[in-house]
Amino acid sequence: MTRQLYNCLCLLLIVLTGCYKDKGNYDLHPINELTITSTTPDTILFNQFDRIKVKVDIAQTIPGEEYSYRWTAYSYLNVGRTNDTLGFGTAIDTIVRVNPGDYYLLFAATGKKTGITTFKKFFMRVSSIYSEGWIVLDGEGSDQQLSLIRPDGSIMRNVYQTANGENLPANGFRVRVLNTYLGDQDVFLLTKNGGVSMDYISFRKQLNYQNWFFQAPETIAPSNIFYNKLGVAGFLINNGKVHYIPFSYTGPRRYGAPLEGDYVISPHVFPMMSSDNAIFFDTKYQRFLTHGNGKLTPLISPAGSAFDLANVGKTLVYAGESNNDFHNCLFKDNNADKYYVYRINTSAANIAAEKYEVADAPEIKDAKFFASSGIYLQIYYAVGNRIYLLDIPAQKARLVYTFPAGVQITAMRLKMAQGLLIQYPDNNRTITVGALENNEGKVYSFSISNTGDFVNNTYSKVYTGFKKVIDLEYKNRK
Amino acid sequence: MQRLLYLFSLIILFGACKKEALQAYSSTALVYFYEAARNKTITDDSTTFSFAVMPATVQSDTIYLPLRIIGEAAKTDRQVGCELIAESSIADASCYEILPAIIPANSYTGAIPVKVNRMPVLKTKEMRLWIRIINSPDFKTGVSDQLKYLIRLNDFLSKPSSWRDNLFGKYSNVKFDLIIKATGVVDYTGLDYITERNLLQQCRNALYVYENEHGILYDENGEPVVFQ
Repeated sequence: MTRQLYNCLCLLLIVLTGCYKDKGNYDLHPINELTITSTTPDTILFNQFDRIKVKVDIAQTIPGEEYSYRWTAYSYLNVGRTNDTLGFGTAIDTIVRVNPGDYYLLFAATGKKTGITTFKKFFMRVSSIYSEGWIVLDGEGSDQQLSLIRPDGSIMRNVYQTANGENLPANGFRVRVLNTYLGDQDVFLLTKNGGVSMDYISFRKQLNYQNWFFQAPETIAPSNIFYNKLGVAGFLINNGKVHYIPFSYTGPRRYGAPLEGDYVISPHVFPMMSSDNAIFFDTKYQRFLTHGNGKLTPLISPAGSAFDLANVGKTLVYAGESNNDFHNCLFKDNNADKYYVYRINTSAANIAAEKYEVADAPEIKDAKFFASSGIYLQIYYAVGNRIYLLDIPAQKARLVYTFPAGVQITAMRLKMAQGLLIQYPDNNRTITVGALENNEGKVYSFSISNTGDFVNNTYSKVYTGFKKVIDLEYKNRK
Repeated sequence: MQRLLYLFSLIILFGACKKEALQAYSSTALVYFYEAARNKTITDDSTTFSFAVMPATVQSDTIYLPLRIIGEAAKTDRQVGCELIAESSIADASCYEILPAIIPANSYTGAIPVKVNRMPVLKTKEMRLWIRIINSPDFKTGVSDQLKYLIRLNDFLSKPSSWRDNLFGKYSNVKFDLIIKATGVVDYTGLDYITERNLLQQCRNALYVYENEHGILYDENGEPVVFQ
């Protein structure tokens, strides 16, 4: 019995040793912590090819460890881009040759013994003389040029000829600046017989219109080019047919054969937010078509729709983006001067969302230039020397500005960002108007108030010295 | 005596510490069909060659079967031995000719050229030419499972080895004919997505035009031709 008791006691002692707190056979040491500071602000702005000088100071909690350093610039939209290494010390004093755009400048200090890396990040905005501003297409026939009105009001004239030593292709009618989700910016000029693409840094010529395609169409008749709101896909309307290119796949940046179908697409298009989706209006059958993955499909109105998407039965005069995912479509009766605004909601199951009659809109039948507001239910339109504002729910328009007699409005464009990719502080708040006065083209800039009227009922800036202004397009900073 | 044994063992052990020069391959060179990289007309160990996808003016052509050697490159051209495996082939002598194959001087690669002729018999009958590498004065046969190559030869449409169902859908001769007429492309290897999309769109357009003029296009199996 006693023996059994001893055995149990021994066993208990063994078991109890498991409760002993293991204090380990190691020592804890504080690690060396690094603090990186700099007198340079966290946001750095400069022009391409400027010399950049940045220095950081390093403080160690346990001095003595050796570090290796590296300065890297990488794109703000960090997709599919290689990084540029700018230096290997605690300071850089170098000329930055990266293309204009937004970058992160990253300083990394890596402990040679521990391999632990500590970072400091700067936001770096690299500009160029052509980074941002209103592109103006002016002149007629073979005597046309592109100019850039920069945000500081200075004008870079004849930028295409300066870059290329040759005239613009003749009969240009539309300039487009488009951005892909990859951060690329493309600049296009569409002309009656083709067009040309240019690089966004210098306006150097890239490709003639025929080379935008795998195989150039037999009939060259461009009417519009656009990317959808997130820059995932590009669409080119030629001779009423849709050519499509997705940007999220490898391969040459060329438009393919036209999408099949019996349709004639209007140049007024409806870029959408999701994927490669877009909506088009078929002028042949006066119906809406939707695009997805290289296929056009007629849209059908579910019950409760405000109008029949498959058979509108009216002529599309103009369409433009409105608030949220809405678009305003100005329709006209096929046989009468009677106008309507149909609003489509591209993100809703019921796309045919609203329908308004235009009861009182002076001179709208003669209007050539339109601009749909992206924040209010309004459409600007210009006739002769007058700018009207159509209040859609009120079904009537009011005169918002009149130029002196003899002035002719020749172009009008609202500053509106492409989807979520671009942000302007004055998005939908600035409208520019090209006007011909005594054979001189001028560009007027109007600021838009909270009512849609122009601030102080007049223009805020005027830029002179152009020929007849044909088109205007805002080039976002890049 | 024991000490002597230890000393002796030690000497033997140290003998292993001698640095030995790298030994080069010095035996007779070997040759085999090269299958790792896909040649334009070759996919793995066989290829299909159809005159049907070529203009009527093409009466003969040459297929090159890629070769690679094991061993050193030589300063002179070397002959490769090859023959038709008569027992497993279906071969009309008028339809083909195996031309002399060499590994050129200073090269590790070469090809067996097989000349093929557009003979009337190919309209109705597919030739199956099994080509085998054999020993020659310059080369012995190399990798044992890469010594035979099959050429399928015909003059009627047949599924090309580069056909991809995920691009064009289910194969049919009628569909293939439409694709050739619409795009002029018969080899679909190594295409990027954007180029594929353009080919597919050209096919859709051709089918759209056909259907507008003639109605639904049916293939040889009685099924409608469709593209995704």
